[in-house]
Amino acid sequence: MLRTTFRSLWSHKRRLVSTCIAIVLGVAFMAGTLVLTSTINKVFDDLFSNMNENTDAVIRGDVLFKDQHTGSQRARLPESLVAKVKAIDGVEAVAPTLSNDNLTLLDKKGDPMGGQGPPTFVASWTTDQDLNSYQVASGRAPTALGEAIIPKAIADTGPFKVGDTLILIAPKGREKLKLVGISRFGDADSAGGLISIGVTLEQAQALAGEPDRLDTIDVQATPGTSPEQLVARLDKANLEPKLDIVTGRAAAKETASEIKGAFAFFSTILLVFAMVALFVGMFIISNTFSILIAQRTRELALLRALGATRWQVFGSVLVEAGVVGLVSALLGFLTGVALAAAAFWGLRRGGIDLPSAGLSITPSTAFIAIAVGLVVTAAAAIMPAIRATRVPPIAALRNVAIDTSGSSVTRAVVGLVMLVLGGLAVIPAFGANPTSNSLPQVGAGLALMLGAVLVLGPVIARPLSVIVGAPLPLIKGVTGRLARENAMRSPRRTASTASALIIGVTLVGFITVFASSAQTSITSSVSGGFRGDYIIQPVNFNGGAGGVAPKVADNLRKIDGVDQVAAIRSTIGQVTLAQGRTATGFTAGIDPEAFQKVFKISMTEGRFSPLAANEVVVGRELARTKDVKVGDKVTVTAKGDKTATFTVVGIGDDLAILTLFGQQFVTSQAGFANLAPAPTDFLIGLTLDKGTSVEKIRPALKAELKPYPTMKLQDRDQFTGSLVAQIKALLNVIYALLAVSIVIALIGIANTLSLSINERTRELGLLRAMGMTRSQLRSTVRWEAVIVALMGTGLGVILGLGLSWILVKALVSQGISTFSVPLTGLIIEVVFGAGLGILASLRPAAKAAKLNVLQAIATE
Amino acid sequence: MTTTSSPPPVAPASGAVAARAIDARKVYGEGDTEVNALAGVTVDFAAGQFTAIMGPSGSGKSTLMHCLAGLDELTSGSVWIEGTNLTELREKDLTKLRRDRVGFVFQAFNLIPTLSAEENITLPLALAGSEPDQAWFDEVVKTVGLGDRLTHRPSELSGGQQQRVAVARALASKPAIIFADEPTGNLDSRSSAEILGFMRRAVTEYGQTIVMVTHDPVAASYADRVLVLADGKLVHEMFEPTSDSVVDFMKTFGD
Repeated sequence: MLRTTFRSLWSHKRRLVSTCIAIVLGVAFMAGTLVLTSTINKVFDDLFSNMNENTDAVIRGDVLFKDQHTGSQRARLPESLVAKVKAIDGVEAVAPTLSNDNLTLLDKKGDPMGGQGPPTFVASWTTDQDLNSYQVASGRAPTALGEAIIPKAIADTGPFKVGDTLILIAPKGREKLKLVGISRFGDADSAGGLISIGVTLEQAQALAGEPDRLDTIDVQATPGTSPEQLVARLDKANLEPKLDIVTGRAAAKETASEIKGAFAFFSTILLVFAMVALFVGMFIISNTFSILIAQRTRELALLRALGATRWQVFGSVLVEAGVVGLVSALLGFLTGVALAAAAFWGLRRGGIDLPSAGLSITPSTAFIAIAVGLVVTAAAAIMPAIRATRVPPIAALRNVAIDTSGSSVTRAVVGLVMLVLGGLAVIPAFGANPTSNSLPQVGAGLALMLGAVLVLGPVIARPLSVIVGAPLPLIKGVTGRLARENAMRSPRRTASTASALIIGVTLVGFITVFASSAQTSITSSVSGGFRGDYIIQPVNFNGGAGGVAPKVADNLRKIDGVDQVAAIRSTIGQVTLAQGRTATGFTAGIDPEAFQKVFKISMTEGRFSPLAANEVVVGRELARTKDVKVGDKVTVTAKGDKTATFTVVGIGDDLAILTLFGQQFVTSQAGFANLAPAPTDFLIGLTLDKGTSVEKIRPALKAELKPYPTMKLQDRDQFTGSLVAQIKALLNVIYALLAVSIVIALIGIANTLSLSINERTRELGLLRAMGMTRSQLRSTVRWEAVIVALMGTGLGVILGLGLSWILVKALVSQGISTFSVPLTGLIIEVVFGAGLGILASLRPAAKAAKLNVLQAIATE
Repeated sequence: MTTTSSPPPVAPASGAVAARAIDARKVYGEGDTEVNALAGVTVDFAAGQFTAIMGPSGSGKSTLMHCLAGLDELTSGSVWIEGTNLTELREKDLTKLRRDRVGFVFQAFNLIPTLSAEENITLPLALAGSEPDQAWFDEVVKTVGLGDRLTHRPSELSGGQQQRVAVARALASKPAIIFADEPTGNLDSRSSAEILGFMRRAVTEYGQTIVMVTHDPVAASYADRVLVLADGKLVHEMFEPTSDSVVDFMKTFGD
């Protein structure tokens, strides 16, 4: 039996090629993601363990709060602690450290460096070389105020040389440092592209505005003292309440895992798309095996007549699928490794200065990738295998009946039940004011509805082909008629071919419509909420950089023609609400009077203005999810360990730009001063006097902002345009990822057509004998493909529209209120789908046209 | 009659020639495996005549028909349909010639399963993009007795009915010549008689030219003329055959 299986596999190996490609693509996508992730993880592990090689213990302040944007926020330490640590038995050397992340280095041309890449730190240079992971490569280390050393990679990009003056943009204005040395990080020119500017501890403290304060104290143990012993001794010394002392290795691991967390999110997204690709691939695999088995009905029946059991037939189909799956998964894995290598190379080229570590291919990665490929193929082949067992031995004697079944009552019932359940699950989306708590349920409902359409596919394929293909006989005459009839011939085959496309197109349609709705909502909330003429905001929101000192807003106000200036300052903080509930979020400080003149806001309850120093307004979404009421007391602990308590005086409904930028708590500038002693404004909106033209005043505003290249000045149109551009950029990435699934669906159409043509050899021969020209035959195949493709894209677009409409309804509370259909986008999508059909039909059509008429009509 | 020096059979002087083969040769394979399927056949098929081609398996009768119909190419020699030399035509023109001037009836699998009987009958015309002559269509349908079956799919028709549709299709475009390849090979004797009767009527009443390959002496007896092939050569010719006369000849030939 096994030999028969392999013989049959070998005899139609060409027909399995496209199935293999589907699996290879899916597995490669997944394996590539896994290998890239594990490589990046390894790089960071290596990077940070090298960094802290000689650091045996790290003394840090207590964690104030954790936040997904900026990591753990810790309290700073007093510098007086250093002397006390030195005195402890077992301490060989100590290195006090302090770093600032709110400065931006300008390159030689005066443009900000860093962009969206690795952040900038101005950190104390550790004088004890054993504890410093950087070494001086040329020049010397900074020894006095005003001196700095930078990594070679940064000096090369600048370009800077020893003796140059570095210009940094700080919240308070420009800082100048003299470059006295160039450093290297181990054998790398920088630590992963990090712009790490070394200065003296005193200088770092001056820049932070916190003299005598430290971030950490790194400690080296005397020979013979283990890191654990050292940590124990430091703990026992009870130097100060609320200290967090860990071994150097543990600290390194923590830092690495925080950075790795950011990549984990990225890799999860990639994996989701890989799963979609594999899922799409399953339809193609299942279809291929169904057709192959239908074509081998006689052969299977003969085997059964000769005494093969049902199990043997089942097994032989599964073994066949397994072999195909294994071979493809192996190829997919190798392709994935190549992809990961290319991506890693791309990241390094793209400016992320990662050490050139080899790819990290773990056995588990290989195992997972290959196992998934194998399981997906085998699972997809189970239904065809079961169908193979139903071939009765008597079929060997009858004329071959081809793949007839399609719509069964069970299928229709299951599909309808799924549709109804999905419909019930999304009902909360239509309630008044749906909260975000109902989102998981709505999501499940959307998935159920998509599943229902896939299940119902074979039931609706025939009527749909009739509708989609209706104009064909009129346009293309008998070739069109034949194309439509062929598409209707095997509803299950047509449906599963179309299904592969439905999934991809539904997702594309869903994301397109959703993004368009989000875009419209944001634009209308911005244009509706922003009454001003100009907005000033950071070039990028990377780290803590960006923002200007309050005096800039004051100066702008003095410019002739400027009416109102609304500056927003913000800090991340941990908030304690009534009954001990907590939340982490941004607290904004504004002047409510001016703000209301520049931005249009609406309140659900209470007041927005005036706000006293101990009063706060809370955003609607947070108020609802955390049950905050007017009159509640909230306590905010900001970055830098400042704490203040406020009384809630209002619940905002739509707080314009504050809602847009996720500012959940809003207080006055006086109140904000209690949280941040040296505040910076991250965004300034302004209105002009009546009669002052936008263009005329631009030079004056630009001149005022000249010292701050980290901030950009945008008029109204530029501002909304930049918001839209961000969404577009994100969309393009998603489209690129979904393209893989659509390519697989395309292969599916081509594959099914090829196999169907094999099946219809006799009929095609007859048509050719009757006088059908080659181009007429190609046209028939092409239009059949177009019908299937249009059915897939059409259903996909409709589903995408419906599902995104429900999601938009459900997301009203998140500020997405307008449902907008990008009509041209959707039309392009449908035309594109039909185009894909034509593309997919090219090879099968050419194959059909090349058919030898005599052989075809002689085929038994 | 000798097999080597027989003069080209001449068509009756009264009629025009619907198809003609001149020294038609067809060789398959090369060297040791070389097979002469047609070893120089010269023959005319008069318009308005019903000709049967007989011969044992491998005699070349099917090859001759395929070449005459433009389905296969000769190694040397020429074939003509009316005034057109098929050997000079490109593939595209051959296809058009089949569509416009040749009708086919095969032994089995004659119809497109996705089209109704009516659509199958008008298929060659539809492929040419021309409108069927309604009066002629009705006449043909009446002749083969398909009136109430026109909207049925092939799978809903009996074998005999399917062959009737095939004959109707061949007649519908009024081709210069109809080639029938064992048209009754899969039918019972009653259905066979019906089909052969229709073909006979088409020749007698409408002047249609038909060339039929068969190995059935009864079928051959419906023809005006019987050609016998053996080893790729024309070996015998009979006019106004009866099934007995054909059987008698085939017996002597078999020895």
